[in-house]
Amino acid sequence: MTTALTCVGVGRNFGALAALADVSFEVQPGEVRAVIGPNGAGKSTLFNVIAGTLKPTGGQVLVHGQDLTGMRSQVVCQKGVSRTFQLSALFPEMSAFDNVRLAAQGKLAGRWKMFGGAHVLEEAAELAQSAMVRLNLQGIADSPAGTLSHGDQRLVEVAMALAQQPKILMLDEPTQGMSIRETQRTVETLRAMLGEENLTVILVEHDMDVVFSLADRIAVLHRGRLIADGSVEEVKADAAVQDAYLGGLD
Amino acid sequence: MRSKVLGLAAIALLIFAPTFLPVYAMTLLTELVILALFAMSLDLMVGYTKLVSFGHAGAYGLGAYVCGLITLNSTIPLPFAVGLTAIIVCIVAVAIAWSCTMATGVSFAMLTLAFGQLGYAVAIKWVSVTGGSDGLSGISKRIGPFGWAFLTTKAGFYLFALGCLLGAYFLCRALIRAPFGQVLRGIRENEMKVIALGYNTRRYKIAVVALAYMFAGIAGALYASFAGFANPEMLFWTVSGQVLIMVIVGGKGTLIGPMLGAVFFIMVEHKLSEITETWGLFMGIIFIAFVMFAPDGIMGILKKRIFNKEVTTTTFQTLEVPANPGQVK
Amino acid sequence: METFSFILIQLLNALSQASLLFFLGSGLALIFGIMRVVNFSHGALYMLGAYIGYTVARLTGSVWLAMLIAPLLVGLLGLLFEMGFLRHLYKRDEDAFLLVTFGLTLVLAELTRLTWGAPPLQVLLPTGLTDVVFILDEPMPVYRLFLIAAGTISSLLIWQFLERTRLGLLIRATSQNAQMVHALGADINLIRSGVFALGCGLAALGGVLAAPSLTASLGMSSAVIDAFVIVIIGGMGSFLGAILGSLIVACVQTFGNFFFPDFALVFLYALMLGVLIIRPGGLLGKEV
Repeated sequence: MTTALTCVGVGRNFGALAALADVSFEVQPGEVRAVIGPNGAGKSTLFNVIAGTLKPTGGQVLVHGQDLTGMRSQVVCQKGVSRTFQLSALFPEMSAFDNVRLAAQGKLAGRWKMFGGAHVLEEAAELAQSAMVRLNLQGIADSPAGTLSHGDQRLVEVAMALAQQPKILMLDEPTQGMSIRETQRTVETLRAMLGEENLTVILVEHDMDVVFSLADRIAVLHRGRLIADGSVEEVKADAAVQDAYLGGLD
Repeated sequence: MRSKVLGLAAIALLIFAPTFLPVYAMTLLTELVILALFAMSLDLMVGYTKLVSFGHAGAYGLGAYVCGLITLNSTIPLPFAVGLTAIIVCIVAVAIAWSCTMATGVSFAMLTLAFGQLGYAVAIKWVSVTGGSDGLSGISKRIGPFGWAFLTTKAGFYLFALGCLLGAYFLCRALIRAPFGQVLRGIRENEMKVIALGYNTRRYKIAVVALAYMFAGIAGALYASFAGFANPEMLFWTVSGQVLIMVIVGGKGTLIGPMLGAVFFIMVEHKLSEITETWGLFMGIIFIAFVMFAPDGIMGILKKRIFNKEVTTTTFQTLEVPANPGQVK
Repeated sequence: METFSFILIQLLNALSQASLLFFLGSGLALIFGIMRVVNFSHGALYMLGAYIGYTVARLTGSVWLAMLIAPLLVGLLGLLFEMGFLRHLYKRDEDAFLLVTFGLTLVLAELTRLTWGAPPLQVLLPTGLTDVVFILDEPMPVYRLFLIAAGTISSLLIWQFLERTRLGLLIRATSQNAQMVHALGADINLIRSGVFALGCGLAALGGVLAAPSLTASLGMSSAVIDAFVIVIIGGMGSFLGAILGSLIVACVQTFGNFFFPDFALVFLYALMLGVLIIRPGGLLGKEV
């Protein structure tokens, strides 16, 4: 059985700074993998390298056995990796539903059609509706995305990625900027959704409670390197991890 | 529903105009129809995809010259000449669009300006083909083999031009409601996100620019046949500016707004130029005022006063909710 | 020897052309660097500089005085306009700024036409620079050598100003991270307005310097395209890029005009497209 995602020796330099160095790990299909680490550890860099927004300066990224190293985000998306953005990137004047529908359309053949594309629109609409129902967003479906609360916007982002029927769903700090109540609600919604699906998820998060609620396994980055990689319990007990988070300043 | 009735009434009025309007009004109306097509074509870019162009006159002028050359050097009848022009302009437009879409935002706009001026320079310098600064003259509306002599009459040509305008309008409307149009809308609001959703946005931009240029080329071809000449001034950046004013003042992103903008522009030009020599100054000030204070143009003002905003896309509520929400398909 | 003298003369012509283009292009580069907006009326300001220079020369009899006063006046005009009007557009999307400055171009062109009339106006060469010298038996107007000197000195002065002075540092910092500069206590509004005025003044200086060779004409407002080509090639927002871009464009224009007079424009645009393909941010610019 091929892994869902394999990173082999992934590195990314910004000038003299090695934001990522020799990161290797595997994610199995159906697994929810969290990527954590203190500030500046390289989580966002790793996320963007996998998603194709950044090119790695070394190493390989394989998705279901396919080498996608260095490919543009548009291509990576077509290959089955859908992502959310840390700063919500929605279409503000479209309704939430239209946002998700455009996302669904992105993976359909015939998404470019100028004439005779009614069936494409219908199929996208069904996928969008399904995604929004799974995330309990029926209530705000017709509101312009720009007018939604922050928490709803983050969930619409997730719905958009979900509507693309991805092989790998990548969530970039989904609870960022949320109040405690919004965070709880989001975690519950996500946990319900993940429980019913068999999605492979890669989750970058700061909030440890969120991580422990949702993740199966955790990868820990520190200063661009992978310092721990295992189940939730293993990582919690890992001395190096404790050191990285609680250890001396730099 | 109200807008549909109004629309049909307007179309009927336009079709039967030759029966009740005097000759000089028909000439003006024909010119308006051609300019409305020109303006609407730019709206595809500016209003629906947020691609501002300062070089749209290049497409217009190219259409005029191509049609003029076809008419002067062959016996191809008018409708086919216009059709052939559309195809040629579209092909050239793909090359221009490919070049301009290498950049985004402001750089894109300036590149379109550069290409427009390049067209102007070619029109002036390639004397053997374009007639230099004198341009082409004596372009007639050719009678077709099927006895399309009707098209050479004032009324006949007007109806042909109107047909082109209405055809283009309904084509554009279909386009906008199609999957293609939804992508354009996304590009307008957040291109980065559209790319992240897996779309190759550059292709869509090239396609919409090629289409916009094609329709502008048709307008240019019609004008050349209507006025009987084509000259380099038709490609000058001030003309690009005028059509941009028509789109913005009329109301971008509405297809109909720019047509109203064309009417507004020509009316202002005719009325003000009787009173003062500096009507261009007032037009510039009006334009700035609209950009600053009424960015949705005349159409936006009308919509607020007369209609409620219509929802034209499928909403969540119009679909049937599945029996078991949460079931993975 | 003839080829050598020919090349030398053409090179000098190109350099004098580059000087004019430098004044035109550097203003646009500076404004874009600070504000990330393209001032479409840049060409119109260039034109205004030429026309105001014409009037000042007519009134005072001194073209030298015109070269001093016209840029100052236009710079002041730009400053007032930015402070009173354009400033409010930064919050809106970049298209709004472009469209408004486009409308401004139309208004300025009309006002110019009303004030000075449609036909091009002749501006005399400044006193003392009307001679022609002979270099290697080829004639070369002294004025062109003056232009080369003016361009070289100005570009060096501004470059050193940006690199060495505190104000220059503030300007460079603002173009990289305005928020940070603001947080550090500097008045970025003032910096922006100042740079905008400087850019306008430079454009006007280009216009008044160009006037004796080219005549002052309404067509000058399309010079914004040339300015833009320079900035695209050299790098949006890069001052040194503007210098490089001016040199490249001037050489292509001068030598292109000599060998292939009808295709010089095509070469230039092909060059611009080439740069866009290979280095989208311009030769000295950052990747956008």
